[in-house]
Amino acid sequence: MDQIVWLSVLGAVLALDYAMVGQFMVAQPLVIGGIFGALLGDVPNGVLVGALIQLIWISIMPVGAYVPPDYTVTGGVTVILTLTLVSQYGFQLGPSMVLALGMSIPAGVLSGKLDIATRHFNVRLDQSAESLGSKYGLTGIAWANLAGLGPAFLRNFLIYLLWLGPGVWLAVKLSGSLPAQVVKGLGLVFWIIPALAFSVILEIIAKDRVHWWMVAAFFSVGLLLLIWPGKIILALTTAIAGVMVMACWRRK
Amino acid sequence: MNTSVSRLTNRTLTAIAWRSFFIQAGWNFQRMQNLGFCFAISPVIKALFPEPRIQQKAIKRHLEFFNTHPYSASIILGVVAKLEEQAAQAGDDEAREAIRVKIGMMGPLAALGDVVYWAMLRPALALIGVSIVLFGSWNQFWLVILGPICFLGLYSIAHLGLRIGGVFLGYNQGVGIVKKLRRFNPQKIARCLSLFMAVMLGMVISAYPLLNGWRIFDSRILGVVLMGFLVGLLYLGLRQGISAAWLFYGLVGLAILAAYAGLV
Repeated sequence: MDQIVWLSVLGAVLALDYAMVGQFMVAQPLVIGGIFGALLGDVPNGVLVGALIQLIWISIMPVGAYVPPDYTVTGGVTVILTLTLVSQYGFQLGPSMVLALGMSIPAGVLSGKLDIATRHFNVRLDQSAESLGSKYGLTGIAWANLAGLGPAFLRNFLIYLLWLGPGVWLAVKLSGSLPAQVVKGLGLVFWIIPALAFSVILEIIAKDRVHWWMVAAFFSVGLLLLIWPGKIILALTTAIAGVMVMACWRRK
Repeated sequence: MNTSVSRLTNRTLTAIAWRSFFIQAGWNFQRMQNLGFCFAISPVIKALFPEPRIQQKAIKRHLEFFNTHPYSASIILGVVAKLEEQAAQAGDDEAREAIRVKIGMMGPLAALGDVVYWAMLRPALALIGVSIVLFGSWNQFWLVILGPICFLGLYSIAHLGLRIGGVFLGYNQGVGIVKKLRRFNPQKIARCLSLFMAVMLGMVISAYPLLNGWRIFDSRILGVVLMGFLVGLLYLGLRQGISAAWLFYGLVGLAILAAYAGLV
């Protein structure tokens, strides 16, 4: 139980980075997967799970007054649940990750809804800022601004605690009692999750009408890999993409 | 001209840059980032207006509505610091010019941050980081952690450069920076990054099934075709307004049905 509380505290602190403090991207699933992976003793699987979740919600960010579901919380909870199922209970990685992700998506949705509520609460801080400023000067303003972090931390701490406490128990029970076909199906989804993620990225680039470049890269890289499946081809393609960015930037 | 007012020091500007990391802490639906802006500009108010009455007026004017991208806010903070300094030196405790420029800059700079950082740079660098993880043999420790390190390292250079450098740039250039920013074309940066993502995406769509040994009827080519088909199908789903979360649940349902039907 102590471990769940500490992981919840850490998760809630890191989640502040998503929209409230810094926005250094340490709360992004790719990074948080490595952090929780290190704490739970399985960095490679932590990063892999984080990377897959990162891809699915690669384009989601809170812009202006738009507050989307908080998928950094979904990412953190999924990584912890998956690694617990794999390392402590010996379940397979793929089905465990898909089950954990299915259970964690509502955590991100709830966090987003509660984020809207806390931003409404912050209106009170704004209303009291002038009186705090006239009473305590600049210190009063600092208090009014930083007080907004309290509800945000509490919100995510409780969500982590709720999902990790009963969540681990439920995930273990479910994983142990699922029929073989369901486990097989969940394992299959693990391998096709990248397809969902790639379609999300396709949606981003389709707006700029550069998809023909994607088609060209798809066929040329595919052909080269069929002839010789060396990963150097991927490094070279990335370098070519980098050169294309430079050329695009120089073009008037 | 009030000569007793000192110039702002590098220490004050560094304090603004540090405090700008908290600009969204008190984000609210009424005046949005006003608390964060006032908090970030506090070192300037403290340095320029030691008299409590004038300090109160400065606090009040910076508690007005403010909303921009959290990264590009640093440029506005630098410009406002310069204009506040000029107003204090001129004995003007209203600093109307600072407020006017602040309001004028927040819209265009919000667009710059949203288009360049949120919409393009973050996804593009995340795609590089994830590609390293997916194709870098994920049972090898150092190759795996290279993915997040690469993403975080490259992104940090890009955003910290703007956030810390922006305060100093805004302060040194003053209102003159507005002209320079007009020449800056965020759409062009976005288009170049979009091109990068297109090539990367084409690469990962074909490489993922080939390097993970996907075979349909013992054919590697059909594995790639299946991946392309899945991406296209899911893209159509997204275009119809179905969220990625619902598509995920749909995939789970279909995969379980396929398993029961003996297709996998």
